[in-house]
Amino acid sequence: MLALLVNGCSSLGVEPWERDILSAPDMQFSEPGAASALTQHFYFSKEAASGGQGFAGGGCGCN
Amino acid sequence: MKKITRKLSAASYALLGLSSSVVADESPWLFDVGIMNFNEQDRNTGLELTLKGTRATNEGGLFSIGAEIDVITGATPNGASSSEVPQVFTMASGVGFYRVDANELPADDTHMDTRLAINAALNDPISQNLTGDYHALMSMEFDYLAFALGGSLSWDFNKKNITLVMGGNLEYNRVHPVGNTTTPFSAMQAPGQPPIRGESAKTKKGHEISIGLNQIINRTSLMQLRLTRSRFAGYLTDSYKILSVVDSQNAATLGHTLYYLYENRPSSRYMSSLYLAYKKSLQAGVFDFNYRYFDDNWQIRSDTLETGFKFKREQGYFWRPSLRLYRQDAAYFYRHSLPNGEALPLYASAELRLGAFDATTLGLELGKDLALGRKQSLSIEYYTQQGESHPDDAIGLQRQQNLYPTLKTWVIRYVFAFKW
Repeated sequence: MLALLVNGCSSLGVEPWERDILSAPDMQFSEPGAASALTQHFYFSKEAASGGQGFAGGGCGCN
Repeated sequence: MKKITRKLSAASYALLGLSSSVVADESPWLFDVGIMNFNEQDRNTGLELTLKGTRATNEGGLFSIGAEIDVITGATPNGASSSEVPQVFTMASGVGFYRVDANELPADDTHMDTRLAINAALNDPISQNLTGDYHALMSMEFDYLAFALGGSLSWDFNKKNITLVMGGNLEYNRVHPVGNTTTPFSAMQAPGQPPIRGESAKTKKGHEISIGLNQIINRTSLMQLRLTRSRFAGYLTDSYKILSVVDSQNAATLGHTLYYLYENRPSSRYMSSLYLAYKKSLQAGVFDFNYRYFDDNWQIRSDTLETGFKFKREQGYFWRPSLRLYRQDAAYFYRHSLPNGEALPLYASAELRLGAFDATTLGLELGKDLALGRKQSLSIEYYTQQGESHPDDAIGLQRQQNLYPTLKTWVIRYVFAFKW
């Protein structure tokens, strides 16, 4: 599935000098900041589903 | 100040087993600090503080170390159903007790949980197109201990427009509940009576693998895909949770709570998730959207959809409204209560988190992006969780009870980042 996606996506993209907007912090997926950590821990303690972008283990009892 | 940062550096290198020469001496630390307070209506209140320091390495990567402290107090639902009469529950220690009024959701208001977690991560450029990310975590509560260790490899190609990511994570958890672990389906004893208990501590181990792809679409948009598979095995039961056993034999007292049993969950859980995310930069700001599909062998299937728009104003100010929609099916062993006179199922839990529900989060963030990586923001969110209040299989007196009261929670979060 990934191979198909990679192949299909090979026509997308930009040249190296066209990355001005994409280099902004707001355009990064993995922003491992405080807000993200707090939010993920909150939902881990309230819902049965976890993980997705990160790993599913929460490292807490969360009773 | 230099002494403090040097000590912080030394401690953080040690956690990941690194030599202090890895980190560039003159590079400043970027600190990311967050404080979150949540208030559940008639239930818990939580305060969580997180601090993370990140610094560039000599190899052009990033090294970070962080700590989280949280304190949760208030009333935690214990799994029992509300009843037409007041109820008395024995505390986990087996010594004390707490009372719950008639028609109220049974919750342990003697509960207080504190947690300290420390984590470290290293982003390591191995070659021009290959990057390694490694992380370690240790989390401690008075009745719970967790360790996690993992990493991922990211491979850039097609002029770095595509990144393939493969990762894994190992987790070890040890639970040692107050009063020892409970014997599955044993009856809650009266306060002061010897409780029926098992071992003092049990373990749970987990491993996860993920594979994903990041794709730059054009100058203003990009997307992300992740597939994750994980397995947890060991003690997955919550020793503090019980189920009400209700009368199903006598017409006059049908649905009346007779006694309580401690829950029992399967000893393994396989989880899979598919995660898709998209970002688009526009003149007014940045639009983001993500969707997650989740399922597991407990037959919990869920969909999560999140979206927001960061409206950018002059001088770095911004505001970002957001919406999150979540739904999940119940675990196959979720039971709001058990009828007496019937054989016990193999597994059963009445924990609300394992029931079917819909949840909505409405959020608003106000903040300011500053130069040199500094920023600060304040966000307010309102989270509601609605389950089946009056399920079809409720009997007799239970039909007058709300068996899944709506959870309403205000969340306030303040984060700021600064260089030092």
